Amino acid sequence: MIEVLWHGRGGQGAFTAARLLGAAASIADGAYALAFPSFGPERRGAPMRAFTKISDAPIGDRSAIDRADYVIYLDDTLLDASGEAWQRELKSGGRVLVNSVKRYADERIVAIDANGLSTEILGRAIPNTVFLGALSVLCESVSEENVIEAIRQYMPAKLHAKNERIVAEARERVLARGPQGGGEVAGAAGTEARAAVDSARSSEGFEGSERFGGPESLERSETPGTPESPEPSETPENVSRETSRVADEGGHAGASVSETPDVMRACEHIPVLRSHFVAPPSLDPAEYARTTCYAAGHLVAKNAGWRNERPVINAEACTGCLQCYLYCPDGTIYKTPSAAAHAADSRRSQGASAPVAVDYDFCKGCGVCAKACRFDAIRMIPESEANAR
Amino acid sequence: MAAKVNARTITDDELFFGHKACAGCGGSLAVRAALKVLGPHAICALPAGCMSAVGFNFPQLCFANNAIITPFAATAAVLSGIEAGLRAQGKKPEDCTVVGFAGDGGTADIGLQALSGAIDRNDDILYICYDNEAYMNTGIQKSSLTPFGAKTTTTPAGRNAHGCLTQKKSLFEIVAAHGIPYAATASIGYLPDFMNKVQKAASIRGAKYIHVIAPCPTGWGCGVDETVEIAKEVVDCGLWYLAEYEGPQVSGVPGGKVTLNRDPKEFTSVEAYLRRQGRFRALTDEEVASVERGRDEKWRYLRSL
Amino acid sequence: MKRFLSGDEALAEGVRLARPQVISAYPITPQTVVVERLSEMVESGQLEAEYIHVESEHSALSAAMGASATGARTFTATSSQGLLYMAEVLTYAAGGRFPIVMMNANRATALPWNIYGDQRDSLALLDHGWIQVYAQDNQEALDLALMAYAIAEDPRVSTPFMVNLDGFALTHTYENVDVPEPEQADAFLPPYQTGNRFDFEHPVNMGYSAGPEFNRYFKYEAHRAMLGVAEVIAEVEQRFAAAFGRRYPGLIEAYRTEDADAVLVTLGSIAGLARACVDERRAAGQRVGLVRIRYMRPFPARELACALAGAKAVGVLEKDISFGAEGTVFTNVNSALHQAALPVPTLNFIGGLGGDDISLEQMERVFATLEDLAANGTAPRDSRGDCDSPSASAQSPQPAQPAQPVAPKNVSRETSRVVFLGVNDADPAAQPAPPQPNPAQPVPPQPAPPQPNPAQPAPSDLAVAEANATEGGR
Repeated sequence: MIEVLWHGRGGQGAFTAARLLGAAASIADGAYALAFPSFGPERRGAPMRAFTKISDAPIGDRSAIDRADYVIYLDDTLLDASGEAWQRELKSGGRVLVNSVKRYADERIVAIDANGLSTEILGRAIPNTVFLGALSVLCESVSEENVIEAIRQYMPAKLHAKNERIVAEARERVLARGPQGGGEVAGAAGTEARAAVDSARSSEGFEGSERFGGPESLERSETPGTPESPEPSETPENVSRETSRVADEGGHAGASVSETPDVMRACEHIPVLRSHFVAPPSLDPAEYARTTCYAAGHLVAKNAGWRNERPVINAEACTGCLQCYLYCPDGTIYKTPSAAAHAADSRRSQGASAPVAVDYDFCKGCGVCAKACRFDAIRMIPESEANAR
Repeated sequence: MAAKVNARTITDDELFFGHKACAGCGGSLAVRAALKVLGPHAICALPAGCMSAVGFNFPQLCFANNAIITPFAATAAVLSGIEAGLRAQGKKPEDCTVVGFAGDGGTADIGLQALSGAIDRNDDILYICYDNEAYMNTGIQKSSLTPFGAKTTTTPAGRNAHGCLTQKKSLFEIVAAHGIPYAATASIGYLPDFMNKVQKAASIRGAKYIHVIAPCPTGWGCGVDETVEIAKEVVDCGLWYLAEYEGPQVSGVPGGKVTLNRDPKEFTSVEAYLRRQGRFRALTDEEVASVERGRDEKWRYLRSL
Repeated sequence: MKRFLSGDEALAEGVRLARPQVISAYPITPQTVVVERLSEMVESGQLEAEYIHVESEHSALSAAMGASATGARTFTATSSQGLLYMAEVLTYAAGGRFPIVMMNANRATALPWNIYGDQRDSLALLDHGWIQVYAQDNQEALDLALMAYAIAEDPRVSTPFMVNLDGFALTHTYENVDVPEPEQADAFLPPYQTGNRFDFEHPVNMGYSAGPEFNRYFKYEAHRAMLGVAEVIAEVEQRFAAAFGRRYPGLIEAYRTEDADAVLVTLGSIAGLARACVDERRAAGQRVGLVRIRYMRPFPARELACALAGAKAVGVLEKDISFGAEGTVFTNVNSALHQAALPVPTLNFIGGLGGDDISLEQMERVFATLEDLAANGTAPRDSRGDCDSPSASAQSPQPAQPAQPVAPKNVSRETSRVVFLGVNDADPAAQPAPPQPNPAQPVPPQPAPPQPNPAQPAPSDLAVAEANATEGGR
């Protein structure tokens, strides 16, 4: 059995890709596949997973994939640099495929500039079908012919030609790198990862979803919803896994959370009222499961991994009007101790700290604050830029 | 009446924090802002829906105050029970508001019976409907508060229909018709107005209802940073209105009194509002014009109240 | 104090003595009297409680749940379709571990619709996480109201509690009831104390969702708590006996089962008739006995196995049928027998549906059938189909094929172990032949004229006699 584990953000088309791959791999007689998303309460922008299983016999096991032959990242901010997470998820002899312009030393990682390639052909960064092309080179069970057939059967007609071009181009780039193909970036380096950010944030990205008749390869079921629609999962195990991956890679999400049920400790970082825990409530099922009554405000996971962009406050331009604080849907902008002093200091001397600050552990990067600011004191910058600083 | 609330006077505590709502979620902003006005002694009840799904999934419990999930149809009934339970035990603090947050479907469809019952009993509760104009939690299906022309997954835009064929139910008027002590409409685009209505409601004994428009970028087809902007625009173009109803008990006026908090001399463009959202993409110019006519009729009625 | 009360009134007295702080209920026949009496008690100040006039059963239980979440003692009551309408909320209350006490007047479910008693409503909801008890008489109804709170609110239990009264047979039937004094009741039942409630000092979130990794623990704990209820019931009944002098027998009540060959298992008020019948058959030299199931949840599997260990035939009489299977009580009893490896033949008697009266003659026939079964062995089981029984396969000369299942094609779907009283219980020759339409002369479809049943007033009479009945289903 070939197992493929897809990592993406809700809205990037991970499940569509998982589905198309399954369709392609099971076109031949005697070929079987399963494709399914993870389910969970997180919403658009949150890290999510999807799964494809391919076999020459009917597949009875419908459980999630823990170890895969191919682990695919549609967003390189989800790939942890330490390698701990993906190495745990990769079978021996397996490959990691990542949408990135970065270079990776490890030969098992194949980097493809899928944002660049899809932007070139589709006009925006929808990276999912690039990886179908790549897999048709790397994986024997997936032929180019069947990938094209799957695209023709399961995508809207107006998308066929462009996505077929994407597949062909992706194949060429992977083939050009030789059969091993690890470590290097396939495709035009230097294309801004920014494109992905734009597509995830803008209304164009939204319109790309099939739900609104958009032209691109996103899938309705990836976006909102709870159990009825496929969603990124928030199982405590994979919260910790995903959180730690994001944390390690981005370096902005604070300490990683450990794996086992002891993830259920309160984050130390959580502001204000969360501090009312004198002692953390019991984590023993025999205790907590006796009622559905538990300490209010108990948090175990941060939301930083949702973000492709972050707001940065320019202390000199900030007037302390608090509109950003007021309108933040997540309450992640807070008044700093210097707020009062700042308000009094009409000249806003250089180097003074801003009267408000952003809690980057929980900011989802929506940008409402930047729009609410009437003094251009908030700028949204890509996470990659923030990390490079 | 307490002083007006604003960004400086509300509590610094974040009472709804760490939730898993979509980036730029309007509903979560409404809940957050209301709780910052009501303070930590508020007790919340939320039916199955977006805010409960993203708000408390054990062990990530994002309400810092007392909160409970309710059956989908039962928000108002659970509120009544909480309020009665506290009163019966003499345990209700002076500053405790028993407040419900339900979506448009949970309020105008499945929860309407329980809401009507609670208003009829005039239980001392505050019911806040965060209206994102469809069942967003389950992936954008039509509710009775989905406006004409909006594409949802159950009102698809195709050759024969361009989205939702029915008009948005006038829930504010339905609630007001009960003679409720206080009802109001609001928008998260005008957050201070909303917060002051929440504060006013909290100061009144008996049943209170606030209907706040809370855009959903995912379901409306707009950018995640546009939530607040678009919530402002829906008011400015006249497709939503900011109003208050004070029942006879509060206003002393038989039949109650309606106040339009905002009565624009001129509206901004309905077409611009509709065209910037993916959900209205299929509307023809003629249909856009009919929406505009509907707006004008609605305002003739509102101004006559 | 001795008083002549209906089951509804007796239960209302019990509720008054339990001092619930919040009552929310929707009027529905035949429990209407309960909520009327309680309203009067609240109005007169006899009972200090908040009474919420909800607009539906769904809201009734939802409001009770909200009140319970504040730590208040709560009560609600319903019946039949009303119980089914609140079914969704039953699981919320159980999962939230709210010790709400609810009275349910057992009544037929639609369609065809009527207002009379049977047990199809509550037995359909055994899986919803509530303790379920079935009263036999009005005294037990009153006493259960008090014991229900003591059991449900025990921190080891913390589970909602449904007290079932047979519609009309108990709810509207008057008999002498001893009503305890408030001081006695207060000494027996102290105020409700719990940590499972809102707290302004240390706020809590309640009734949240929990993903797959956690969900099972909540369900497991609820199951474990329910299993432990038997012990708490025994303790509470002992305290109750000490306080009021009335002793209750736990999950089941076994009557003359010690040496019985044929035992009838039943529940609710019909046990009174069955008991009389047992005495009669005993006098005639038959070794028969009766088990009255009091608690359906937790299910008394162990107690039944003990009581039925010596029986040669077991019958289950219930006012319920799960179409396409058998009576639900029967399924549960058979499971208990199987778990205890008791290979006793069993028969299911379905009666009393839609208020149908079960007569003494019918009850005698039930016992006669069981006596036959006890004397003649496993005939009904064999008549179920032509297939070899599992035990027969085991004795077959080809033990080399143990994996061979019982040939399913031979198992008859017609389960002759299920007997509908008044339908297929009598000698088939005695049954009037169903009207045969004359093919040459088509007859418009027309129901057969109703057979007057002297044992029961005609529905219209009862409706007149019982003002509440005119309210209909809700």
